[in-house]
Amino acid sequence: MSGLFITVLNMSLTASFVAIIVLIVRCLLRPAPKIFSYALWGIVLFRLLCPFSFESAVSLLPEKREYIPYDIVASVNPTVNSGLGAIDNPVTQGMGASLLSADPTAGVNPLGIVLEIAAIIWLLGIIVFLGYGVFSYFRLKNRLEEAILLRDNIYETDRIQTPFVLGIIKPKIFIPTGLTQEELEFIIKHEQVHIKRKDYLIKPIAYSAVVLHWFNPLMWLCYSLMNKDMEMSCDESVLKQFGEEDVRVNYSKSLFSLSKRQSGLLIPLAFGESNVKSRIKNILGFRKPTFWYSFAVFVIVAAVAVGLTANPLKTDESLVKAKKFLQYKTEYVGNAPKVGNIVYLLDYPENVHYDHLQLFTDSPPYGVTVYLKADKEYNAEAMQETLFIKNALIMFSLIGNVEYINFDLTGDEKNYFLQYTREWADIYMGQDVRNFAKGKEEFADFLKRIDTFTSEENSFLSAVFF
Amino acid sequence: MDRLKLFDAEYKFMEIIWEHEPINSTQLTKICEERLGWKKSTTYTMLRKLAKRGILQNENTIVTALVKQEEVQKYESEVFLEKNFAGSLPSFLAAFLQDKKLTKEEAEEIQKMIQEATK
Repeated sequence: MSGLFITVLNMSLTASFVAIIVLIVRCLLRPAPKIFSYALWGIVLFRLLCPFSFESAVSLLPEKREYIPYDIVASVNPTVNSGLGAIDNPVTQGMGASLLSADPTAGVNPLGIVLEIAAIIWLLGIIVFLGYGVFSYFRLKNRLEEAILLRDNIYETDRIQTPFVLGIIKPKIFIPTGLTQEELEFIIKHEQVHIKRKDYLIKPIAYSAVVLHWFNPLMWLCYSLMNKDMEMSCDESVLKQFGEEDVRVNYSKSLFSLSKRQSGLLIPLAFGESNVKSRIKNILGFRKPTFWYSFAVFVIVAAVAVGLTANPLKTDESLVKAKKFLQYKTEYVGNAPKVGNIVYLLDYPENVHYDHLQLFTDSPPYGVTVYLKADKEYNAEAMQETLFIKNALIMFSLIGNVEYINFDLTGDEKNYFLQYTREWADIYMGQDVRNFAKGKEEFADFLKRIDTFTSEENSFLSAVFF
Repeated sequence: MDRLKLFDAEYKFMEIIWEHEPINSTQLTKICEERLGWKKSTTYTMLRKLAKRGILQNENTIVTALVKQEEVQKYESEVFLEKNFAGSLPSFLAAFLQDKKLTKEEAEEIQKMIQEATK
């Protein structure tokens, strides 16, 4: 369960980063139609619920993705990588100060226990918040049993003082009794926009997402701001429905008179009116945006959305590997330190270890023998030649004058001896393999290419078995 | 007399009974479904509730009113709501989820905003 908790923590950190950018962009978009601000929260919602995304160079997120590594419990000095240096240091220092790093001599890992406990508290919190949401939903539903059908899906009741939409499959509009005809017209139009836009579904989904991350106060703030943007963009949509007719003042008056009778009714899943003052300000200041203005804002929002939805490209591992190998590139097999380092960097089958090296440099053809040792667990049947082929190719490309390479594997029961020649390597790759070691990119491509080789068909030209 | 105060829904329900009494309860559920959009269970719950308060009686599935329409007045529901919903949540949550009631100053400010826009 702590694994799941770490996933959620990582999502929470990503979402927080996204939320901060959304908050900044939302600030800049203040004069723009509120539908854009509302749409931006969709990215935060996505980050809260989905641990994966596509990778792209246009990502606005910091490069390091896994902020809290899954093996944090096992590591001796736990660190947090948010990709933001300024944040990491205090966090890591804090962890050090609380003496949470794993002591290899101690039997029980203190960080592991803390994580387990935190995960349990997290789960309990989810149960409480979700339970509260479900409870208040059904309590309200119960209260609305006696609501009286006005027409279509509109019900009237004196048990509420603020209108809202409730229901998942068949959403109904509930309005308090005693509204004037004009108020009724505005309110119903407003609630119908909510239904048309499926806001009554978005709201419970958003609530669930926040509940999943209930420990993150920033997400509660986002939730309340999303609601505000949702209501404001809904208001704007109502105003637009009236076309040229200016109903701003009358609509504001309706909202105002409704808010004056507002009770302390509190249901996170239903639609209430919120932030009356800022809404009225928004309504009174509303002007139908010109096409080009909307278009420009749309482009900005779309760019931000893509940038925040995409994950940054992972650093190319083969490039890193290529760099490591290339520092030991040499013309001569007689350069024992370099050859030794190359051999050390190579991958071997499971339970097989590098033992020592023998260089044949007296007279051409020059060669090298790599002595390997196998553990008891070593499974001779499962031995694949692929890795040896790859290793031989790497060595031929990096060591200029080596003509043959031997792998001598000593196991418990069976010994293996594999020999590869430069002639074989050149034929195998279709050109002088030394060409691949000319540059970092070429060598990375070369590594990728030989990585894709599979075992079966590759033994035809290769080594001599003894 | 307190028992003669009715909520909106109760009053509309009673209106149907006054109009049709004596009426079979099955028939009543049908009328309520049509006119009020109520489920059967809602009608029966309402019947039980009002019978307990002595506003109507339901004898052998025949429903009759025990009070006259003139005796009844509608409830002002404000007080009832305040009592039931207030203080049911930790305040830190309320701060995020709940709308504060408008203060007097805020109400005046909004009033002014609207007035200015009207000019």
